[in-house]
Amino acid sequence: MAANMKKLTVLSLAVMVALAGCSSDDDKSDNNIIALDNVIAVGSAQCINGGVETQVGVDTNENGVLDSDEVNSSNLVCNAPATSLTTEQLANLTGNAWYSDAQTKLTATQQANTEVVTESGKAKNVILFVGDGMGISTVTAARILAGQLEGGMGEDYQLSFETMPYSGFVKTYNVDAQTPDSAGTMTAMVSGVKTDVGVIGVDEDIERGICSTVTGNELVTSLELAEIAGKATGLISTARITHATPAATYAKSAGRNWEDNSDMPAGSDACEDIASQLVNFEANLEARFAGIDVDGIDVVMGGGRRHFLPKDAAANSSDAISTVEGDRTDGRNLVTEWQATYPNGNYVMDQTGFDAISDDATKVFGLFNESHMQYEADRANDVAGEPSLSQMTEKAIKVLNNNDKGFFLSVEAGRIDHAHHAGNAYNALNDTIEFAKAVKAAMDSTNPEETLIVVTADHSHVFTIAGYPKRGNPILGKVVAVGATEPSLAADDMPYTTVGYTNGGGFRNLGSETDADAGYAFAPVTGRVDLTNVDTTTPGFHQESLVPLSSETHAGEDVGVYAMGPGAHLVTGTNEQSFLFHVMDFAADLVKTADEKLAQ
Amino acid sequence: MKKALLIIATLVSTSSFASQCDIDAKHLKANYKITNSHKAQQSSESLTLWRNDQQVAHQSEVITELWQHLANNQIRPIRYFNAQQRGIEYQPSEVRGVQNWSAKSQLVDNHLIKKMTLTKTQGTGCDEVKNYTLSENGNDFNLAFYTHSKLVKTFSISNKKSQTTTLLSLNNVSTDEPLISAQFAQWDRFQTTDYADIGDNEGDPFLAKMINLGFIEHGATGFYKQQGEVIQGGHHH
Repeated sequence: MAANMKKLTVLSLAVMVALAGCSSDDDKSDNNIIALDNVIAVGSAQCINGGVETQVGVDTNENGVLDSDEVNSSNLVCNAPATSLTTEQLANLTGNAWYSDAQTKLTATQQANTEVVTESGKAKNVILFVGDGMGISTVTAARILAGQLEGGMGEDYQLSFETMPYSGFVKTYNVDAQTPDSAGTMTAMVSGVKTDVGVIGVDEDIERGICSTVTGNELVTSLELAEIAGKATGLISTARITHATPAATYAKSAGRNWEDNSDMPAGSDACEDIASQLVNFEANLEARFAGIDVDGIDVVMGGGRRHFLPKDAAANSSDAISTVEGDRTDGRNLVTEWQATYPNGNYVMDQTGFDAISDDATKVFGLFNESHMQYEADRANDVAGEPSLSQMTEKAIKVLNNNDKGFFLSVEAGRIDHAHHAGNAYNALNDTIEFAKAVKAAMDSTNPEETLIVVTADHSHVFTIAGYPKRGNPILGKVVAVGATEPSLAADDMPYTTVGYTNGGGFRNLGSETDADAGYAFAPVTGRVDLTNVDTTTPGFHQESLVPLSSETHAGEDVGVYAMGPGAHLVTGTNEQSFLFHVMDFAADLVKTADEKLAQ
Repeated sequence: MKKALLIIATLVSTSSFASQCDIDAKHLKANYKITNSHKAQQSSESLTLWRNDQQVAHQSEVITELWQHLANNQIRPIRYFNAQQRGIEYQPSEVRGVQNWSAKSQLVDNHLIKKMTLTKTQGTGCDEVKNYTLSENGNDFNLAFYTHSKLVKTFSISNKKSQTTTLLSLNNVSTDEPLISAQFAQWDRFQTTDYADIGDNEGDPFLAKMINLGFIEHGATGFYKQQGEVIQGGHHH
């Protein structure tokens, strides 16, 4: 007999038969028939989820109890498996912040999904942010550093673009390269066609370095389409504005290094250098597509002044870093040419000039450095002063907003890549944080209902986050294990850093040096270095690397893409890099509108 | 050749024009011989020091290191590969660490000279030479330095324990400005690449091959260690 006798019921025999297999209740028979329900505990051998065993018999000895020898029949009913837990049972979950935060996120995501605009052409504005070399590990490490700089542990911090509702992965390979470069990747992003490594704005039929192969293989870019559609257009980079990533938005070149005429190989007279293509953008586009009337790129800001100036010390700027700043050997001064083309435009070359740009300016041309702009951490050392990426982004949007048809803006943090090449995580991460600030500036100064913002990287780097550091351990520090206070030691009895590089120049300890490129003054370090007495969190520390190379390399794994605004819902899954152009095109109807313009 | 002045140690006595010296120390070409000795073994190589106002170059057989002294007191290094006529441009850096202008333009750092003891002064005018010595950490330094041209006449570092000696000795000097200007103009015409861009140009055969030949701190002489650091003999390529 079941041990848990809870209820005694006496039924008439007739009723008992009718109710066989069912739970009975409070009936008593004149024939002293007793039905007894025994509750089966959860976990019992009879019923794993518990249940009820009903025993029926005649109380022949009339003692009021159904004794075991009086049982005539029994019926076992097992409970179905539980499909929900009680509030009390869930208390450990629901009372946990991780759980409740995730529930909040879930609700927000559900809400965002109900608000998705699936129609094309709803984005008046499109902003493409590219963190050059900003692989997944860079985003993670920058997130941690940003959080730690604000006093937190860091791991739970969110960079601005990580709050966007949609994200996915991007396959970055070039048509001819497993690990890509910026030229081929940015061409894919802004033209919708993957191409070869090292070429700008042309398809894979190009032969790199051969000028004659350019004609017929030119692609059309999202910036050009926006220009044709009558939108305002803008271009920002902390690298030279003639560097591969920004150049892919406006130039067609068989070589990414053809930044001015002195860079062109002999026999390339038929091709126009990249700087010249930027200044002649309006005329070139109008010549290419008969009948269109465009007004040229409205905002251009970055570095690379040397490619626009003649090789003549008389043309030097006040913050020249060479005795002769300009590289052009054709005698042209593209700055003065630009000023002649746009007499009401603002040419600026330093922070003071930048600060004086009015929000209602119509054309802005800012060349803030002879070569690349400074690393964000090194910006204070610029000779004449220069704006940050976030400042340039904010200013550009104000100027571009003057066009009521909307705008297309491309923003590149070009020096994340350079700091990684130099094996200096400090600058790579700080430039990534500044990049996130620039994205935040765009999120804050645009209407999300009419602005598609896409944030991605062109490629990754061989940058790793390794070891088992405890939560909140300084991301630029040495690995200190959970529960420990002293650094963990490797098999060689020496401490090691959390972040490092698979290849590159390796260890340098340059202390307070904020220019990552200073590390290039030293030969690659092979083998391990004892970091016991080294402060690895300083700006001038360069992480150890496994394979000694003079310059750290790109990596071939996927990068992330983040998006918000009309069309952002398309940014999901794992995509070819060329897909991003099509998202932007869908969102703003760039091709359709440009086609309509050309048909007029 | 507008003006050529030959300064050779053995010719000191021929310069007799008293205490006046009108040599243009900012525009000159000085040829040196570097001799390294280790026990019975000895090797030598040549080095040419070029000065062109705010630019200094150290030309050796394979590589030429050129430094531009900027108005903001930063120094910009450029490394040229002579045979390939290509160059690598580095970012300018402030005068700190290995970047010290006197070390570049004189081959011996002023900080080191200040630590040394002046033993005697010889000659007059352009031929005035000051002799210095220093013994530190087992190294014996001996310097003979032309006062007006700020050129090393001879500079030796000896270490008895390791039985090594490095000797830098001046062969001749030219102040032919057109020659000097032409040489700097020729270097300026070499195709150059920012070091920051090398990582993006792995496909360039020159960059792939040449960047492993050497780096700034392993310059042609190894004599310009600064801040009085002990020099363990020249490092040569």
